[in-house]
Amino acid sequence: MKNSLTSLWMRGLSSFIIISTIFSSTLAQTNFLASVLEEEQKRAISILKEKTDLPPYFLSYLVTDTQSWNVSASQGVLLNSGAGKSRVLDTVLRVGDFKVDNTRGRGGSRNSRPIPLEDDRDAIKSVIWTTTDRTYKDAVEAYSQIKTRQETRAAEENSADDFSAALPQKAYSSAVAPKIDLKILEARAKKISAVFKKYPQIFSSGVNFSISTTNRYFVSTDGTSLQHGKNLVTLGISASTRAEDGMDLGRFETFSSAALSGLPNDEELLRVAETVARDLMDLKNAPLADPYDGPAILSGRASGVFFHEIFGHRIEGHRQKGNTEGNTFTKRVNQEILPSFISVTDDPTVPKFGATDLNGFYQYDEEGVSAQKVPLVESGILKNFLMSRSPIQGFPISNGHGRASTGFSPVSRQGNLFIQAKQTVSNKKLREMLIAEVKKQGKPFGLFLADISGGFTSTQRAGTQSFQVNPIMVYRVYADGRPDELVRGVDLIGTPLTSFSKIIAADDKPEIFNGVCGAESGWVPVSAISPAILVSQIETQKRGKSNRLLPILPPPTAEQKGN
Amino acid sequence: MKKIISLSLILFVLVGSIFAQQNSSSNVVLSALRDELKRSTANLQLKNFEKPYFIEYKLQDVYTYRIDARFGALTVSGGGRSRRGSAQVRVGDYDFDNTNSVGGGMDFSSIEAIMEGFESGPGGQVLPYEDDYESIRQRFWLMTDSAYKSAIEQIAAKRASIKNNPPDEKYPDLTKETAVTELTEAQKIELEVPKWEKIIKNLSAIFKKYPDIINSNVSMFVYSSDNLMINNEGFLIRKPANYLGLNIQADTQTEDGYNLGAARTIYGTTLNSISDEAELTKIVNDLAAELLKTRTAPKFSETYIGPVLLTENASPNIFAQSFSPNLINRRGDNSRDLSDRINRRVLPSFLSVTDNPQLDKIGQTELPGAYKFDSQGIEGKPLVLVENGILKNMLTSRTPTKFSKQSNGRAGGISNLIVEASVKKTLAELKAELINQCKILKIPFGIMIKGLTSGGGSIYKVYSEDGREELVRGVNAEGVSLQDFRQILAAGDDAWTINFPSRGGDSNLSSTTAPSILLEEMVLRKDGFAKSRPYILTNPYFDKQK
Repeated sequence: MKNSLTSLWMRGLSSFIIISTIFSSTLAQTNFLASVLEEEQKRAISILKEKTDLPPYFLSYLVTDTQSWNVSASQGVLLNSGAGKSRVLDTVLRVGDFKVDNTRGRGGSRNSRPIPLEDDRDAIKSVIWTTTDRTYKDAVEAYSQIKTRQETRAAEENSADDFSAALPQKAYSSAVAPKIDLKILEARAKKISAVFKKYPQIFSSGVNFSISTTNRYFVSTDGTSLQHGKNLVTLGISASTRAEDGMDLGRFETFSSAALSGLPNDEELLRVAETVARDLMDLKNAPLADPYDGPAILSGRASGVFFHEIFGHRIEGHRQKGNTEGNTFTKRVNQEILPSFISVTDDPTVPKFGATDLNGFYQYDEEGVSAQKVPLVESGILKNFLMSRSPIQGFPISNGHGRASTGFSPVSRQGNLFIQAKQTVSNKKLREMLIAEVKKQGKPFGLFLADISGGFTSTQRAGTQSFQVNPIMVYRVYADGRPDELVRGVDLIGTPLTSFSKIIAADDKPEIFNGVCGAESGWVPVSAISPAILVSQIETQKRGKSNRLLPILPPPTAEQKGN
Repeated sequence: MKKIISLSLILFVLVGSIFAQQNSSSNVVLSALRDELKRSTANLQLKNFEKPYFIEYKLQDVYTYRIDARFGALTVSGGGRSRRGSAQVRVGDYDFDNTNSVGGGMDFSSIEAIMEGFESGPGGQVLPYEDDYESIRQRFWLMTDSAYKSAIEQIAAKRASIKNNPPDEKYPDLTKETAVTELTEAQKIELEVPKWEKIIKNLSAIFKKYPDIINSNVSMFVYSSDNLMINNEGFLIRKPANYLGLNIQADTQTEDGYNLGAARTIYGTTLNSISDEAELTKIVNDLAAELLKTRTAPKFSETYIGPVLLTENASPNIFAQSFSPNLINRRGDNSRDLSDRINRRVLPSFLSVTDNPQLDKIGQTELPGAYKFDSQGIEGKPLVLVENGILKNMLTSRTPTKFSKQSNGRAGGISNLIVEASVKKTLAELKAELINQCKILKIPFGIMIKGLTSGGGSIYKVYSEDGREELVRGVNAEGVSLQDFRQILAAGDDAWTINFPSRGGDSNLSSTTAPSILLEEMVLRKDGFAKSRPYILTNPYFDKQK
């Protein structure tokens, strides 16, 4: 299973959303959906108790109601502009008991169906009952297979229960959809994207505004009834081109916020677009990096991604129980896994860091459990895992990290990952320490990984237990005092456990990486907050490149101007 | 509004337009395409490689809208506009170029070539939908570059493959055709969304009358496009392509636990085709009634080998599925087309088949598959394919074959296929003939299939003793072979038309019109599908009614 942390912009580019009309807000009848779900859940349980020998021991309904707006422009003209609305019902039904149920080894029986966009009780119920019926039959069939398999095969390595109980929750709040004027967004996207018209050598570029209001309604047989919501605004500015040798190069900046007003103003964004364009042209002309093995500084954002990939994904509870998982940290609880000055916490309950809204903020997870702060590593010692309602030995209950996007079964996922250092140094000092380390190791230069696009990691047993992080802006920092030199084509590689032991210092200015993370339960918004770190040894490889030539003819615009 | 202008005149008009009508949007697009095409044709060449001999650009503006409702409430209402563009580049010459590779899977020699091909490929790229000269040229510049490099890789691979494995027969790769210029203004379908939301909701609410129907959905889809094509041979075509559809679906479960479904789609080119709400209401009720009748019909439990009367939509359906695909001329030894049967009998002598792309209506049925020029810019004229049972012609595109040296404007395959009978019988006569055949074979009943729904047909036993009809369910009809079409015993005086989505081409839909037919033999078996699990839960809406 690959997990990747890519920016929201990358996603915005690849998915052209279905545009649809906006219906009047559902907020007038705040508890309408929750009440429909509760009624149907009670009715289904009572019929299944009466008519079957194997009634469910757990049934939950989650409706995700999303209103979204998306505007993209490239080179001053619109690519896409529209608004959409969707309402999807996810049904989870379990038969058997907490110990062994129909989800064993198969991640749950979840049926996902669109439901009417209007608050029409009869029409919504007409979807719920058929979905529940189907989900129930699937669950019974899966359960009988699991029972048979259990009788015919050896006991599994880890015999933790399949599901854990959770406290009933009742809370009703909602995110109010902002008033969006698409015309204003269109004008802004066009204005900012027009910056790239000055750079005919940039082959593709764009500016994308993506705004969503998501309200979730959750009811379960735990007695939980929830309504909660979130607004998320993201802006991406991106550009790409190709170097002479055929290497494809990209550069982008993203901003996330809970409201449009939280984004930088246009003046600032025009500057960012200029920087993106100039960085890209610098990269195009930068020398190609050779494979490197030596000391490096990872900026706070780069370090955030580094921790998200090599640590965060391996601390997700469900990865400790699979026979196919590498179980890197399974038996290391209360042992030192990081240098003693480093602590790591995942805390989805924090909405902001400084003035910046955090993507990984949420109140309740997708299993109806309230979000909780989880100290994962205290002074280098592993203390806890990120838990969904899938228990592991020694960690029987959820700590509110069962996350999923619509249509996927929740598994434990990260929210806001905080990397904290007990001893810190100034940024200047960190650089001095890098140069000292370079000299100590007898290298001509160290690396500074200034910005990063994302990465992926493999936690499976089959295949290597490795990770790869893709920095965009990487500089050589010379020991002899020469100015820093931008290089291109660097990928950071390695194996997790060895990489941790090489962290020697951290600076005092934490930075935020807001992004979305994709794994087996879909795409979820996440943040990673980290100071810059100095590592005594990193390993980089040359990025794979194509042999594609630059375009044969000059850009048409350049030719015109030449005439 | 149609404008047909000669080639010399159009050049003058276009040159003039740049100065005179700067603000006319289509001219901005056209100028951008023309200028980049001109530059690429003149200058695009990789050192030590050949220049392109053929470059073609396509640009498509599309507006779509979809409305879905279930049980009286909207589940989908949305749409939008988009623009796509694509570039096709050929190197070599008409006799031998980078296309029609022989080795199978040798089209691309490297990952790079695949990537290049992907970026310029047939589906093309999403382009900004505002008319901006510079950004359109920028995109076509890059697409042309990618397509050219990909073509160079392809022709090298093709040459290598032919050297190692010379083919037995050689055909040219592209037909030579006379260039055509025709610009037809697009006519967008104007959809009043709130009005149609209400109609679709109303139609979907009809199912609230039918407690035995478990799931139902009513959906409408509008597609309205403006297509521009230009190439360095002098072709310049702008044409609209509009279609819309209204789909009704319902499913139920029989008492003994079998799932049954029914669906019907009405297609058209204008909203007139679905404008009568009373008529639509009747169609929904008829579909529900037919489904419920089938639900309680006896199960088919035998294997039937004997004569079958195909009427209503069942007849054009069987032609569209099993006969007409073989009329599309294809290249290659593995082609199963009918081209080796030219001037031989493929149907009984009382049947003839024509294909007429320029027919936009048959009776009240609109034909969205109609066009004047195909996706390669070739005019599609009416064509007699089968005359009195004898195969006379095939549908051809600009890809030459053993059979074809010229395109007849059928790059998209079938347009509007019409099967006509010279000897016509009434339905009563056909039924009598069915019974007569049964008596000869000494079997108790014959089979009549009415294709009322597009999901499946309604199948009836017609008893030979008294002619009574009995609806049955759970029948699986085996396919009909080309030989079986020669064994058609009789045809009706009626004509049934279906529109259906077609593969390939940019007209998106095809139609087939055929009379009822009596087939000498078809094989029908009891449906092999396993029983489904009966529903345990119930629809609360109907519980409330009780």
